Amino acid sequence: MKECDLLIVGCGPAGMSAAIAARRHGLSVVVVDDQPAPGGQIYRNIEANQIAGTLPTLGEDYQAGVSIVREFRASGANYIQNSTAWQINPNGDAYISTLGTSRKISAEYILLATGSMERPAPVGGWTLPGVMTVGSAQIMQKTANAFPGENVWIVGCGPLAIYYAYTLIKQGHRIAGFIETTVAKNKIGAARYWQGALLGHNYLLKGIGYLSRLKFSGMVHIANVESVEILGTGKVERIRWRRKGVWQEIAADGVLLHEGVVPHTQLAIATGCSHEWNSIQGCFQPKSDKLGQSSLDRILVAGDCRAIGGAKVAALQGSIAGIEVARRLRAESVPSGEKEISALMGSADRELAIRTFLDVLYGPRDEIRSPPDNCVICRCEAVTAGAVREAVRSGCQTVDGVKSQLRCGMGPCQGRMCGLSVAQLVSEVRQVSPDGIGPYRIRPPIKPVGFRELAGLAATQSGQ
Amino acid sequence: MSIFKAQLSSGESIAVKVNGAEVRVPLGASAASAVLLSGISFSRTSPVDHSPRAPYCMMGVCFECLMTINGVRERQGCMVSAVSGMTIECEGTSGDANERV
Repeated sequence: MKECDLLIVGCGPAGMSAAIAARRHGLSVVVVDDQPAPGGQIYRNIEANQIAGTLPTLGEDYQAGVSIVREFRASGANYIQNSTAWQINPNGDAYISTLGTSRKISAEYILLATGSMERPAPVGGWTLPGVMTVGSAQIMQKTANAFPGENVWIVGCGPLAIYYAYTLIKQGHRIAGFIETTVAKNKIGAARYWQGALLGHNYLLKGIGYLSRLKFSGMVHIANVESVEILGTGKVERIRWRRKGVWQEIAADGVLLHEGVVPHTQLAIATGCSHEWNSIQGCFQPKSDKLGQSSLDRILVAGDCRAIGGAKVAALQGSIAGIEVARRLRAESVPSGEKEISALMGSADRELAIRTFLDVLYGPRDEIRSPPDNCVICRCEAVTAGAVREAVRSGCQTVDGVKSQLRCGMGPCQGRMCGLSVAQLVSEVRQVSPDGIGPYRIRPPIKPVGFRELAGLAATQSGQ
Repeated sequence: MSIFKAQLSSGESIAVKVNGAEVRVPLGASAASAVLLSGISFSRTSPVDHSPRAPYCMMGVCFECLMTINGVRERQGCMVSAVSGMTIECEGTSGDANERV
């Protein structure tokens, strides 16, 4: 006996939009969210910022979340916050932990809308205290009203780094500078996709606007950086970079790294969804059709966790998934479902027009895909890129083989931070595409669950 | 020396304890944010290579922010909302409590 029609994991634009659409067609919907309030990462803490009056300083992209969150709150979906779905079974059973107590909820369909995460950007010294990510800085900005201190540098490339610097300066704060690692020759490759870029001219113009504002602010900008290293004893003290073959160094107190975002696939992989390699974006993503149907019948995927496309695309994909599930369960109450979905797909295609241009332009430099031997790539177990290469050369042909040999992927983060690096290193040494290698095998629980909690779950279940 | 400074002029702020020292953070901030804003230089030591670590991603992915919250060990500090009176314990030396803009 299923307890709900649709269980959604994640409460960002995709999760919220799916809930709204499914509820509009009368489905019973449960949304499991590990945050305390709706919004995901992109609209994180938006209700509190609305109340505090800090919305205007956080940029237009952020403010777009206000209406979605409002509609979500009014949708009638059963919203379970501060909760982690630590195991999903292909039959629609979800195991959820809320503040130390676990329960099982069974659904007809499950939508994974777990969003994206920062692409792990291994550079020498990246484990030093004082090195964080642009994403983490945005979270500090949105939830803790906190801004970079004295001598903090943004190091990396991608639209999010530019957008964050722009909102900082708009708020009257400053960043010491931007050490930009965008690969110069990517401009040539990206230029091939000029038609898509023009179709997405709104995005282009916005981006150009942010860049000119940054230039006007006088922010220090060091472009065409080929290689980066962070140095210090116990904390960040200096940044070294190579530009046109010449190494330079500067004193620093903090570094915010960014090399784009990648799908957060942990739960989808653990559930058993097949994944494929996206060679342009350099990441794994779940195999799915345009409706979001994964390789498992009862599991759908939407938003950035399916493929990086941004907030608008995530919302559209979420809506499509919500309507599609309603069609499957209650076809008679969704008479114009096919038309609605078709229109939403058209909109999503339009929003995605500029995607390839951006992906190629801001594709991370080779050093990120192929870090130097002495660079730590598994932070939890302190495993270097060189150790991984050596393991492959000595016979470990798979990521799980490397894991068994070196323990990378066995630490607390369960391979979230090293998974892509290890797959790319195995691919590099074996000279095969990461598609033939696949991600780590990931086993539930995808977040730690205490034994007492598991015992409590078993007791509740046997009592049923 | 903290990589971040807080601006507490707008909205409510609450007080938590980081290694015994009071730190004020806005409502909605996480326990890990409070640790960062306390000026602490590192919050954890890697059990593998004993290198100093501190929160990195702030969204539950990296697990660098493991800390003891209200007596419960090894919690991801970035996934726990700070509430008034919360006690947070972690490794590392406390700097100036409450670095402000």
